[in-house]
Amino acid sequence: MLSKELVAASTVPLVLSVLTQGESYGYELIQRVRELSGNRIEWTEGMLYPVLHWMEDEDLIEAEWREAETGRKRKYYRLRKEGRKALQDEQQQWLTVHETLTKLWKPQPRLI
Amino acid sequence: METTTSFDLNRAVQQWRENLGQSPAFRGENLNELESHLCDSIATWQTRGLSAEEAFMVAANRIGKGNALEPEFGKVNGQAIWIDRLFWMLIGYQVWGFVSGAIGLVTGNALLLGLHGVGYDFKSHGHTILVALFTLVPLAGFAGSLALCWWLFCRKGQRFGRWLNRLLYRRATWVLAFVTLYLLSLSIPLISGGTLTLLFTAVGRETVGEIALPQSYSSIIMRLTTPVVFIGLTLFLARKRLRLN
Repeated sequence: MLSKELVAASTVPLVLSVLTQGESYGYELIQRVRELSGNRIEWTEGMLYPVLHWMEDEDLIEAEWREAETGRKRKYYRLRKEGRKALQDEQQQWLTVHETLTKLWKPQPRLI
Repeated sequence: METTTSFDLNRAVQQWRENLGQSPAFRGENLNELESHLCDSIATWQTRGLSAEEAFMVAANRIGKGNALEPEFGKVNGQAIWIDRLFWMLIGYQVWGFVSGAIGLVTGNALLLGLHGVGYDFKSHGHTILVALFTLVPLAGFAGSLALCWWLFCRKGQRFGRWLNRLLYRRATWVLAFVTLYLLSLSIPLISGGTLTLLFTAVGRETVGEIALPQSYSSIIMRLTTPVVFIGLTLFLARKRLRLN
């Protein structure tokens, strides 16, 4: 399980990344992230929506209400150009952290 | 033996939505989206073999409790929440203007006609009784209208509140309500002008002139007392509300 802080920090890049694979809706986004993380990333599901709406306000994503195959209406989210740009920045930052940590955690060759 | 429960899934979902909707942090669209999520989740859990009731419980639990979600939704909807509050204040202001005007008009004229009817001598009794009457009768009218509001909200609260919420849910209806109230409050001076001419013929110009001064005294007293009543009522309701929570 991720810490609360890490969940908060990783939600936006996770959502942006899932949406690069095509449009999706809240419930599906959560399922997808859970699946990909091997059930290790568990969100309080309702908490995703304020984040999605914030991303919508920031023009990172756009949304549309449409009737789903179940007959009920669903709000579908799609990535926007600004979102792709934001994702590139996020990628850079997460990779930097990842690389640094990996280097630090690799068994150090000892000189003596 | 399998126990049969009378669990109504649609009702449970509706109830769940209404509970969330009690908080102003959730907009109508948020509730639609959360409900759509809940239904998707219930359907998934049902295909995994849970009963309708179990699926509902699990799905609702995974979405999270209202008081945990509320601050997060509140942050995103902050501006809309304040606009909503402003709308309600404006509607309240309009209703107050209309109700106070109507009560003042009706009670004032009724009193005048009543006193004239019983043959009250306006000249010889001085102003004290008239001022007291012209203050107390409208105040009783206000108390009556407040009691009616109280009854509507407390006794019929759930149904009335839901009806009002549904009515003013759309901005367009809200604007319509605002304009209607505005026009209604404009009609008060028109009607009072009209009734004045009627009063002239009914009780005579002189009598109407006699009560003009006592009436303006009592309207000053009213203006002084109503803010106190409103502040008291607001504090009382705020305390009551806190206790309910």
